[in-house]
Amino acid sequence: MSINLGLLIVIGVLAACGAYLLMERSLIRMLFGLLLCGNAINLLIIVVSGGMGNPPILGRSSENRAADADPLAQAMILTAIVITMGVAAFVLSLVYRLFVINRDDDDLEDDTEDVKILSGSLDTAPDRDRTDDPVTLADTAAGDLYDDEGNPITPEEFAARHLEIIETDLMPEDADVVDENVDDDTGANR
Amino acid sequence: MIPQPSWVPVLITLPTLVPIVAAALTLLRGRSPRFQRAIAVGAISIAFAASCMLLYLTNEYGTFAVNIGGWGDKGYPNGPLGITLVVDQLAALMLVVSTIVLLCVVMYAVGQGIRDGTEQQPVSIFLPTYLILTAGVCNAFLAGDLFNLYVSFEVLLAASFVLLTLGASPERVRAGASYVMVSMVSSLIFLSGIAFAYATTGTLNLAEMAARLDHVPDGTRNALYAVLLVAFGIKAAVFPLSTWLPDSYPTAPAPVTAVFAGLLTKVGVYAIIRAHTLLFPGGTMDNVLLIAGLLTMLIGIFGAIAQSDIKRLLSFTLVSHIGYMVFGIALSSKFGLSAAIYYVAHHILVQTTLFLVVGLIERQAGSASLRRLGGLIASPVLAALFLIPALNLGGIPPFSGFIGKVALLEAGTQDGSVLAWVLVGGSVVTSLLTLYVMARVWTKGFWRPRADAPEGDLADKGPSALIDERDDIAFDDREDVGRMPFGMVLPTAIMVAAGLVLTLWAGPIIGFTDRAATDITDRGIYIEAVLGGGDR
Repeated sequence: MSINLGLLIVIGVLAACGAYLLMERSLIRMLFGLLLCGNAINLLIIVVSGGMGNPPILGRSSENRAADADPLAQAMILTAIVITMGVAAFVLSLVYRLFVINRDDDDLEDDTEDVKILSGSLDTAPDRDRTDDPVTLADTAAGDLYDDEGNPITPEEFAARHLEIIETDLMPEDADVVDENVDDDTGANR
Repeated sequence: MIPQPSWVPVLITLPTLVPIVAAALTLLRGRSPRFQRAIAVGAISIAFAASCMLLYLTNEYGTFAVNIGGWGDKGYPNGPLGITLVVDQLAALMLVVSTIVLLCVVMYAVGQGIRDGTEQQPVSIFLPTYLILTAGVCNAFLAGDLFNLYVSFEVLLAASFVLLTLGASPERVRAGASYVMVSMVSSLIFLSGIAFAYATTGTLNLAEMAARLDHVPDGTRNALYAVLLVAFGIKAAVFPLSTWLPDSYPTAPAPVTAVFAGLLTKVGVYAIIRAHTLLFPGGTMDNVLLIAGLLTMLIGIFGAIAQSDIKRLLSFTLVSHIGYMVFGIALSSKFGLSAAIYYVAHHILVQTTLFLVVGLIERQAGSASLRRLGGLIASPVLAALFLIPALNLGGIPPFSGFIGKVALLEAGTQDGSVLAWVLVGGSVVTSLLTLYVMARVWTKGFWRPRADAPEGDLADKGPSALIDERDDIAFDDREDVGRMPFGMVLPTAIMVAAGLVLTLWAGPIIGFTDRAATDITDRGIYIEAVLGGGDR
């Protein structure tokens, strides 16, 4: 079987352009990438399904070619084209919707939860309760709204416990302390 | 040739055909939600009944094949031209488990719809699309040739696109867009794999391909397998092709996420099993799959640890546990495959149940974020519904998760290679970390008082994951705990029970998966059923 080099080059160029476009953020460019890649692969199926110029009808011959064209490959391509077209229509509606939502472009944005985790600190870690020390963000011995036996305590008791318990191991170094209560003008505590 | 009842060919087509016809009917009567619901539940029930019959028949008689249209070929009496549907024990088991899941989830969605008053809504697109999804999933398990498999993938993907972007809120469009793109790229890779396979063997019928691929040079076979493996790996979310999943699934409505998590990735796993055993036996890709399985397990579960949103957390555990199935497949032994099949069935049930429970949690508390949840233990029904599948997923004995994992570990130790032992270690670590993740959801979401949650006061907003905008539940009323719609609790409870069935009858079911694994490792049975003129 002879190989049609021209078509193979076309396939390569189409697939390369499609892959390049798929890397974009803009949804409409991604759609074009998808269509180019889809066409490249459809061409590939045509190329691999046999020689060119064979008659498509059983029993006919054209220019003394004895073999019939392979109908299965063409049926597969038709199916693939229809599927790609349906998906393209869906993606177009998504593009429109994204445009309406974003108002200015159709760029895909980062996942908000991903951003939250990437930019997160100990404070936003999933294991944190609100009872952590507000400065060091560490778990505090007096942090919970519970006493040592596990019974709930009132906010007054909670405040009292905070006053009397001093956690030396959690004390910040002097250099780390930023006294936010100092008034710039007077230098006196508010 | 094994004698078989004459109506079997009709039976095989039912799980695909009935949902498609029902989808058309539901579209015709789109303005009548009651009619739509009745048709949807009825159609999926029929598919479930047919699947159960197929399970019984394959267990009794062996593998069946049917050539739609009966197109002949010179070599074979009812040859493999046209569309071939094949059902063996593996396919039948997958069908039964999938249709149980699909049935329970549609009941859950219907229950949610009734509670939220979708009666007044205009044309509902949910149920017709869901039925198309059902047809796609069932057809993927039955497909006997590669192109039919591609088409059923496309059918279920097209349905999943619509379901994922339901309502077209900003976050759903964003998640949906990347999901569509990744899925389509994987489909294109699959299609190019089909082109290469057709060029190499001149056929796409799986049985015929299997016979012809034996005469193909090793390099070509491996290249072909690699292309198909990438395509199936994206769908099955095998690391490093899994990053799309946790970004896409959690934004969808609870029933949709549940059915996606349970079924869509497993269709990819099923395709890998088929390719691995039928088309490319001999284990040339075993080491690649083993390493991919190990990384999938570990990286998935590490991702889960970092999450605070329960849906995302579960999505990461979903990715992680795909690693177990890949591990079982990659062992290429009968025990490994049997364990993998059992694990697939277990995981479909458990993962779907957990997502359904998260849907209930969202209705209860208006949030699925661990930063906002607390005190859910006030609703004992919800707590029980969560705890059982959570322990099951974590692999606590005597649940099916434990049985499946022990079977996998046993198969791994029998293999005995260094890599297999590393995977055995990795599986144990992953299992423990899963337990840690589940325990964290339990302690943070259920035990801890709501006041202790960092954003506990923010949780009383409306839920983000309802199918429609209307909801008549006061979310600032925390006394509402325990009053969940019965129509949603019942399907969830059925799913929990279905998960327990896998535990209670573990012996017979493992026996069944053993036979299924024997059948798929002996390719002759499949090839004989398709090519041996065996459709009537």
